Amino acid sequence: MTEQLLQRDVEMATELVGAARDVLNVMFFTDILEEGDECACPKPFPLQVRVSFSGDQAGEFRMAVDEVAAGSLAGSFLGTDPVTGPTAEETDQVMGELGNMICGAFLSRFEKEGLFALSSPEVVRPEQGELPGVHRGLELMDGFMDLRVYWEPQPQ
Amino acid sequence: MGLIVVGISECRCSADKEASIVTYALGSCIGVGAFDPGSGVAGLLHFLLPDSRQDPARAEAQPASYADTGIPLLIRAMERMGADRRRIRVRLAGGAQILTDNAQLAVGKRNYLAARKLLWQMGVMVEMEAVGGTVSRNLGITVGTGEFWVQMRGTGGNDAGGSHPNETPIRRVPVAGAR
Amino acid sequence: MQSLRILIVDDSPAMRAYVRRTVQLASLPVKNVFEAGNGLEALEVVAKENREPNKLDLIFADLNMPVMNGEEFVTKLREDERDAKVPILIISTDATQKRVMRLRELGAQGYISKPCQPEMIRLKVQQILGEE
Repeated sequence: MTEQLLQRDVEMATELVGAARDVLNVMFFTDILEEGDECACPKPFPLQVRVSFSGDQAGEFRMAVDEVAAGSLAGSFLGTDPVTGPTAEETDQVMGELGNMICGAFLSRFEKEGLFALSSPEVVRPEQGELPGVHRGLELMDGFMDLRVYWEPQPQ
Repeated sequence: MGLIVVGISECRCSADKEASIVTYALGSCIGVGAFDPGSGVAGLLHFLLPDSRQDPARAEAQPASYADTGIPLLIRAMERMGADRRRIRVRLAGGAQILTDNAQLAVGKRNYLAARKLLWQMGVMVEMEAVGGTVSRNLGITVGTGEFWVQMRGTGGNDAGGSHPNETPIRRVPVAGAR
Repeated sequence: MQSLRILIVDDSPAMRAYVRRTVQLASLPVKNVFEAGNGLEALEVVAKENREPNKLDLIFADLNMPVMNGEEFVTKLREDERDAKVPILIISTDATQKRVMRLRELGAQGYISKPCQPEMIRLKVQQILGEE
């Protein structure tokens, strides 16, 4: 049982990073340089996005980023002038959407047959609280990102 | 009929209906082909690296070496010849992984991401692309018709097969996920 | 192509901006872009803006939205005969097979899963509006 759970966690981590890479490549024009269990960056992160999901499987997704990543990602997505950059409000909105996309893409990859409802992304400054479950720390071309997924245990 | 050859780190534009513009041996480099059907202006850029901050002196001397200086150079040069940015349609080719050492591996992809980012920022739409894989490509435009073509050398490319030997029309951008 | 009147339904202002920018860059002859943050707001826009002779040509809709989600919106919209013919293009991260099947049955014309490149959005719009 424990071994199965470990195997599942490894698969989840793979799909989580795969989903993030896909979203970051296609709509944010950036890539993941390194991934690991821990993120080589100052904590807590200044910005965190939370998305909870329910349906065939319930759980929660969290994405945290540093300011460098947040500003760079938001500017890329919106096509903003690199000199002026996005506003703080735009940055939060884009980070919410980024969290939503990574979570949705992850669920579609990991549970291809599933049917889920996702909550609206909640943007929290700074990062708060611990979330158990699968965790990956990512170094991006600009800045750092931290991804976590908690999978609620299924009733036996 | 004039053939305008664009070398590495070069950018050329033309509105001569008799001319073709071509660039050869795109490995990890990206060829950015552009055409404005309204004015008949075509342009082609062959850039080498994604980011001019690596070497500002070189970027000053050869702005077409980098995505972030070369793409604005291409679009503005076309605009000076009468093109309208909103009508310009872009095709990308290259961005392959040719060499095997790890440092080189990422260059093709980084070039591709940089090109997409710059074009989105400048408000120019990419129409089609033939990128990635391990092939070397040539990219050309017939100015009079606005037709693009790609030739491949090597294997592992993702370009669609064409009707002429060694010649492939640029594939449509993949519609992965579209249903 | 005639001058288009389109509606973008998404609770994310960032995603509405992305779709709006794509539509502008794609040189589609867009006359009006209306926006709504959820299905209920979208129904209000439809009630006001989808009237002869000024019909809506296309609706972009997200699925996961508060108040009224995309599925409920499509269902409600298809109940009204006057609005049943407006093409709907779903853009969502939720690409599970069950979801796509369900949306197709409900009467959505197209489905794009995020992440998506702008040219994919343009291609789908052209297909739906019969320009291909």
